[in-house]
Amino acid sequence: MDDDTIVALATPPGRAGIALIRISGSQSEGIVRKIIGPLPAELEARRSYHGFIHHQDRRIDECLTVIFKAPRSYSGEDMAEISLHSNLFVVEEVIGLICACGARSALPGEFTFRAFKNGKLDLLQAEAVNDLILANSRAGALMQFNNLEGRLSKTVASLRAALVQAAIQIETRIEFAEDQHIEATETAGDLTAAAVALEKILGQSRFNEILNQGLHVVIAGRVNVGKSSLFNALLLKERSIISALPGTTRDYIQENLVLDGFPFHITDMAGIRAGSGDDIEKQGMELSLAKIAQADAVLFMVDASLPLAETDMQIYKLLATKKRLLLANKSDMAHADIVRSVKDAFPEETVHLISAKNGDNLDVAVNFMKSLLRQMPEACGQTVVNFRQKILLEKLLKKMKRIEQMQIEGLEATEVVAEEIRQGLGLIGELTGTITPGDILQGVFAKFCIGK
Amino acid sequence: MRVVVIGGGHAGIEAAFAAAKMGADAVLLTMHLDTIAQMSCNPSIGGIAKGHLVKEIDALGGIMPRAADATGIHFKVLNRSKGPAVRATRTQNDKVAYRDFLKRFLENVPNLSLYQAMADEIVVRNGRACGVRLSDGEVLGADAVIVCSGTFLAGRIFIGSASYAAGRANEPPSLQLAENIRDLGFAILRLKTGTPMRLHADSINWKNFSPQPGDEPPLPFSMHTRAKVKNRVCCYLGHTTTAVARVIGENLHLSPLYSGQIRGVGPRYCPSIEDKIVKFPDRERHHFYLEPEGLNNKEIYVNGLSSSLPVEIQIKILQAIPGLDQARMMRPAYAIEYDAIQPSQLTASLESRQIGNLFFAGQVNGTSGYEEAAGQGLMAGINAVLKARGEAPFVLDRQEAYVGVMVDDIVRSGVDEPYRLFTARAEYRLQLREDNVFERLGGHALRLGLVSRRDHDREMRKLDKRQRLIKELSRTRAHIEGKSETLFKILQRPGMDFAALEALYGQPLLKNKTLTDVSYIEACVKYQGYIDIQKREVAKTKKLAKTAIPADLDFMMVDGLSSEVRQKLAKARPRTLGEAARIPGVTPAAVNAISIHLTLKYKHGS
Ligand SMILES: Cc1cc2nc3c(=O)[nH]c(=O)nc-3n(C[C@H](O)[C@H](O)[C@H](O)COP(=O)(O)OP(=O)(O)OC[C@H]3O[C@@H](n4cnc5c(N)ncnc54)[C@H](O)[C@@H]3O)c2cc1C
Ligand SMILES: Nc1nc2c(ncn2[C@@H]2O[C@H](COP(=O)(O)OP(=O)(O)OP(=O)(O)O)[C@@H](O)[C@H]2O)c(=O)[nH]1
Ligand SMILES: [Mg+2]
Repeated sequence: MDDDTIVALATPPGRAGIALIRISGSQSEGIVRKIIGPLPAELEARRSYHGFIHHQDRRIDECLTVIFKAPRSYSGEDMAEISLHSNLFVVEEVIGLICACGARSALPGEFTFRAFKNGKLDLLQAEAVNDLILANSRAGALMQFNNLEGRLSKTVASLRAALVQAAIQIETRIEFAEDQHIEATETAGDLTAAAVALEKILGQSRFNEILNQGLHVVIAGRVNVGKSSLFNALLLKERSIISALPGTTRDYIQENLVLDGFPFHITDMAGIRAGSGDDIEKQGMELSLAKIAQADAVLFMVDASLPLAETDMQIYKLLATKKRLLLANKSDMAHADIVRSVKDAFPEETVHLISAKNGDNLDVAVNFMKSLLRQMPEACGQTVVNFRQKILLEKLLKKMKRIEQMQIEGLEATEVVAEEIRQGLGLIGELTGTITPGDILQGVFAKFCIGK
Repeated sequence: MRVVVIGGGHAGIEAAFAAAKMGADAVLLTMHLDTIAQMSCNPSIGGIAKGHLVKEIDALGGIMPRAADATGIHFKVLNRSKGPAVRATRTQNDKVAYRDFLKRFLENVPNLSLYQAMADEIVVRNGRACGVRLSDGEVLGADAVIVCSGTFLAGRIFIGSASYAAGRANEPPSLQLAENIRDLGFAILRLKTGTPMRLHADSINWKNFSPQPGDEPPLPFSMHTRAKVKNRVCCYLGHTTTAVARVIGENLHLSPLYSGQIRGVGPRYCPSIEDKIVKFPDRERHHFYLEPEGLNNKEIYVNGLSSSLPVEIQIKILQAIPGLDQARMMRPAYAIEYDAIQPSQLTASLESRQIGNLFFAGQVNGTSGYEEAAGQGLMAGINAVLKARGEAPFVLDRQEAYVGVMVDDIVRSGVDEPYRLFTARAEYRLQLREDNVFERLGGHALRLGLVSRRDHDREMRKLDKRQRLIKELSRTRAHIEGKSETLFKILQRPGMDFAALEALYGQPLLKNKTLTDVSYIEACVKYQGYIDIQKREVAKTKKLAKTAIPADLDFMMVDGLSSEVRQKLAKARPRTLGEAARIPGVTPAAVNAISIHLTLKYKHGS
């Protein structure tokens, strides 16, 4: 995901004055050149250039552009910053434009994450910056700082214990092996077991996905019911092509949306229709079915202006095991009897009348998605870590693997391995509280008989 | 300017020597001139972390390393098979020669007077120490006073149920001074330590023990040591038996440690044999070393059998060990309990926070060990002179020296058992090596007048030679596994050492190389990545420490702090982020939250 170029609004939305859009990644300058002109052939880093943002032939806004060259930037990557007038629509449009040129919207804290990865911030700074970002957007204490619960916290505790043991063993060897003839046998086993457990959690767990891509929500429905319209309304930008022609969306399109500081991954599907159409569309539809199977939840849309069709019922059957929301679209053209027939046809569902085109009653979709966060038992109860903790755990895992490797190879000097263990202790100390040399020495004396 | 030092132990002599060298009129008061620099316990200097300390003392112009070399009878570098950072020198010493050497040495130091007397009271006027009252009533005026009274303050010896007041076997305790220090308001700790028995060499059946020879060639501690040092004795390794455990188990009630007579806290890392048996009941045997106390006597120190059991039980223990069954005990093992001050009452220059110009160093600060005492003595001596001159104190950082780690540990956190140095206490262990002491401390030593310009320049030339070679290594290439790589990169490979590198290169890279040269080069190359990280950490910590927190900052307004932390901060009102970080319970994340808050506040002016 790090090869992507990302974009985000850096200033608080809706503030009067100037808005700052930040782009980070290798395509930054290329994208700027596609949408802003006139610019000189050579852009000097850290200099401000005056220009205009264009979309096709339309001039969108006047702007100032500064580019930064890796590694001399906030994120440590190539970056661009565009200052323009702080008008929400303009800003949304420009961000959409930038995305159309190949960038994607940044996840919360992603700039900071990259800065951290590139050695621009230490973990704690990243943590703090990120904390602020999340604190603003997250309503509940969904992923509270330092709140390690359930399975994860057990793993972290055993990691901590294994690392402390490893430190005790190795420090004993350094201080006393020769002098006191103490043979401290290594307990690499514990370390390995703890690392494996952590890796499993980090690898398999939902939070990894959730933090990276968001919860997966698919908009499903028969052709032409207005899925792409809803998708765009949700994303506030014209990403999918909308048309009155049935079967317009032939593939699927994914976008990220942040709700309550939490990333969602929304997919606009090819509309499903009973047997017909060309091969490409068929492929798109197979994909639709697969996507539905993978989704965490589905926004199931029917058309309130047209009678229900057999296809609607067939699609609904696919959703039996899914978290779902029934949306009857085109409320502006709805017929009362059709709405009643929808209610009758899906007795288990609450029918929500919306208009994707006019933006009516879209809150039901937004609230539904937000409610998913609270319903994800695994994601929210057991293995939730926040972004910072995840960074720490990943670093820790890397460190553990390195220590293990060193212990197996037996080539590195003892004190070098001890230094790695100490760094590991430092990382875990940030999660669970500092481990002091006194703690280790205490273990040494408790475990080994040392003395004159 | 006069600096009066109380106590001619390892701390006191370094303090007096440093003060005299820096131009003060130094008076070293001690109870008995013949026991100056007495090694109260084992006949050995150095070891892991302690050897590091001795090397630092050498770079700072101290005498312990020279005395250890001059009277060394067995030399060893420990942890040779491990890397440079944890290698450390240790000597066995002729105790009598050690004492004699130092007495003679000190007698010849200009500005230094040795005076045999008992100090009874520190004379304090206007909150400042200004003299010392002796037991005969005489008062010695002083610009600074350094207390180095070792285990003597209200000392009490225990052997079985017998106990008597003493500062060390057959030496009187220091009772008046102990009372005086309590009266001055110092918080006092009651600590204990012990020493094993001494046996007659001819009564030991040496065949039962395995010889532990010194290194060949033996390596000295000091840059001043020109004469070749020599191994003159061998030490021996032996083990206790299950019979020993039985004897101890049956007689435990006779030990003052277990009968409750001794209440002082002993060091966990230096347990008596009865402690070891009780704490580790599953171990069938415990090892011990037989170490000669000197060349001109037959006393053998039994390193590992420290005890406070009655003499007849000590003899039974010996009888249960093959090879010692016929041993004649010359001096019994004993335990000693004594007063120490809680060192958190001192500043980083080892000066009392309550009473100006009054310094403490050595065992009296709750530490244990000759080297720890000497290191503190040196620092206290230097700082007493600087204080009397009205100059800024000399404080070593944790990343600069073990001396700095030790002083910082004890003054910052205090002690609850006798404090001993371990390499594990140093977070910058890879930088604190024997092979780079002069690089770390030579500049300070020269500036303070602790080493001569000549010695300084000579050591710097050696350093220069090593550093030039390291540069050379990045420019020279060799073939390894079919690839051409720089020698620097090759040496960085795990398992590769300098000798193997020279073999690969096909010719010597450095002529007349010493272990120090090789260690230095290996360390710089192999630890490079780690040291870089540590240096960055240090720089960051320093920057953080200096960031000011405005006096009117409302901690309640700082996002991301728990209410507990908020309260702690509001109460302590730290002036810098560094101070905030040192408040117990304030996590690094909390410090960062404040830091971010300050940044946002000033950047956006909200
Ligand atoms: C029985 C025993 C066992 C020990 N075991 C260990 C051990 O296992 N491990 C270890 O690391 N260390 C041990 N030590 C401690 C070690 O000896 C000390 O750490 C070291 O000697 C401390 O040095 P110092 O200079 O602080 O004090 P000392 O070496 O104790 O010297 C104190 C000096 O002060 C003088 N003095 C005291 N009061 C006065 C006064 N009022 N007026 C004038 N002079 C005074 C004394 O005469 C003496 O010369 C032991 C000590 C003893 C006595
Ligand atoms: N009146 C009305 N028309 C709507 C509404 N929502 C969408 N439409 C129209 O319905 C038509 C189809 O809209 P799309 O969003 O492309 O539908 P889709 O479900 O994505 O279609 P496919 O991709 O072809 O499956 C377009 O002409 C939209 O303008 C609505 O709420 N009211
Ligand atoms: Mg569509």
